[in-house]
Amino acid sequence: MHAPFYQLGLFNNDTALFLAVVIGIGFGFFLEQAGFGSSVKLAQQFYLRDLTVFKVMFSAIITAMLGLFWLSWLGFIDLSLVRILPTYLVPQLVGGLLFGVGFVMGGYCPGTCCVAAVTGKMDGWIHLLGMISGIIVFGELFPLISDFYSSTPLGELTLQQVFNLSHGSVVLLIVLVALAGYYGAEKLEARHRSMR
Amino acid sequence: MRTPKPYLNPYLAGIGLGLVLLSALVVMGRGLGASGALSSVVTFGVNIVAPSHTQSNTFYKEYLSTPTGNPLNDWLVFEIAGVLIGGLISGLLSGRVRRTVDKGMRATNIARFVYAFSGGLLVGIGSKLARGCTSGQALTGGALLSVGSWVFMIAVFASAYAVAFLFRKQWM
Amino acid sequence: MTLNKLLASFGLILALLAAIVGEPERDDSTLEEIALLIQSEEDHMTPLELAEQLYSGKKIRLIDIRDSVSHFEQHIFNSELMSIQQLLKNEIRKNELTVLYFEGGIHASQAWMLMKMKHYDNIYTLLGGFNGWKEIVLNPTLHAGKTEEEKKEFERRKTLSRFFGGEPIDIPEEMSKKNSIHQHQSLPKNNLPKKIRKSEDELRFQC
Repeated sequence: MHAPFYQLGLFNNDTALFLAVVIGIGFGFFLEQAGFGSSVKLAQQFYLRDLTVFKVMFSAIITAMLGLFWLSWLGFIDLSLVRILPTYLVPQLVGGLLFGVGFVMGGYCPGTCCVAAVTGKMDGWIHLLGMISGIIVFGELFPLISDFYSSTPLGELTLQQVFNLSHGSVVLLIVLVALAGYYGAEKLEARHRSMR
Repeated sequence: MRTPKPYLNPYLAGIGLGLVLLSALVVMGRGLGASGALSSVVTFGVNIVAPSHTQSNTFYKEYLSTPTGNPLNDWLVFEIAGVLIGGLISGLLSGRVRRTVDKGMRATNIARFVYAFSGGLLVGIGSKLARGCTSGQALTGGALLSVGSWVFMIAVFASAYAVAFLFRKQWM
Repeated sequence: MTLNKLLASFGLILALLAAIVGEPERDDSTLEEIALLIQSEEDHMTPLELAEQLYSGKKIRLIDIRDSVSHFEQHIFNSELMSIQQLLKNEIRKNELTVLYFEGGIHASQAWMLMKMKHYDNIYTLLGGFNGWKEIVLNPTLHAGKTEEEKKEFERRKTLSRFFGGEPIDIPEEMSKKNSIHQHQSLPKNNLPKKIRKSEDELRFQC
């Protein structure tokens, strides 16, 4: 096992913070290159005119998912050391529903909003301000909602555990769904282009 | 002013993002994030204004527990600083950095700002409730096949599609 | 479009192979590695080895898995109190040199096995546990040696014992010769200083 490097103690906290900046630069670069610095482009996803969001998100998930699977199989990375966020079913469902409304209303998510702001989008800055306010609201309300926040804890639950499938089968299923989605997305976009 | 270059092929951009995410997992054993960094920044601000308040609130207190006790000394804060730099580099290289308001042709600036702020508010609250946003939950948790992350992702798209008609004017 | 199709096929092939392989971990080698470590006695550190390394300033994470009463009564300097459940959840770095100890050896060995299953590479148990530590490092019974080497060793053990807040039990050369069989009967004599020592330790560790 050679990875995760930090968990194996290969470097200290200062190096980790330096690498955070490097990784962040890559993250911001590809978000902007994908067109995620524009709320109009992002929002088209929800009117089925431009499905870039779906394509980019799923390609990213698939790349990382396949990469992790095969790096683990090759004995390079120890998957048990990769932190999986624990599931809190109902708060995450409700959080997702609120987030979705905010996404189509404001046009950005937290990461894309930063890229929009830095490339001069004024609505990106306002959205950023809104998010900061939202976090303060959440922080101030936290004593009241902390019970709900910690409800329905299911631990580090994975799809393969829920569906009782092998890790590889879940990977294949996701890739098949994504490929079908890509096919549909290309058809939709082509039809929209021809209608104009 | 140069005309902006076209965006990258979305599949290639996705693979690029996926490789960045994979490198974060390989190097750090943790994925990407954005809302977490904003929470640290918020905690930093609140801690200056009312330090006793952050100590008594378990939400803020969590973001105070960094190696130095300064909420900004956090991995995600440095990562998001990188996101700003990377976004700027990409924007400059492709001629897309300019002061504008991104909106549909029929929308007014004021309406756009009101929606951007309200949307941001909901995104902020939603991402905190879900313990992560599109970066931390959808991308990272999605690749790690976490159940909560997939539930979050499906909920985001479901509700966005359900209410999209209300905001159509803003984007067309 | 051909590029997209190429990427799609590549992804699909990797995913199909993943479904055939099933699981990304190939854990079967782990058990064999653990067995080898136990066989070659690389699963533990003796109290003296640990004491020497700590004395030389080596950074070792010491985990006390006994109960809190025993821990606060007396523990090895700088060790952390942790239950086995906490140990599993706690963020101990994989490569961080870690030594686990219990009163005796068994409990720590069980915790060690669990940690090994989780691929902790640099983890050891303390041979003989805290009892062993007390007997060998804190309160060694020493017989003044005759050769230079033995004398040197004797002084070294005294230094170590005092460093960790213990009290070496000195047995002068003549006495150790006479009482070689009755060594243990001289223990009652040492009971008194032991009590005093304990209160000293409490002062040392409770702050």
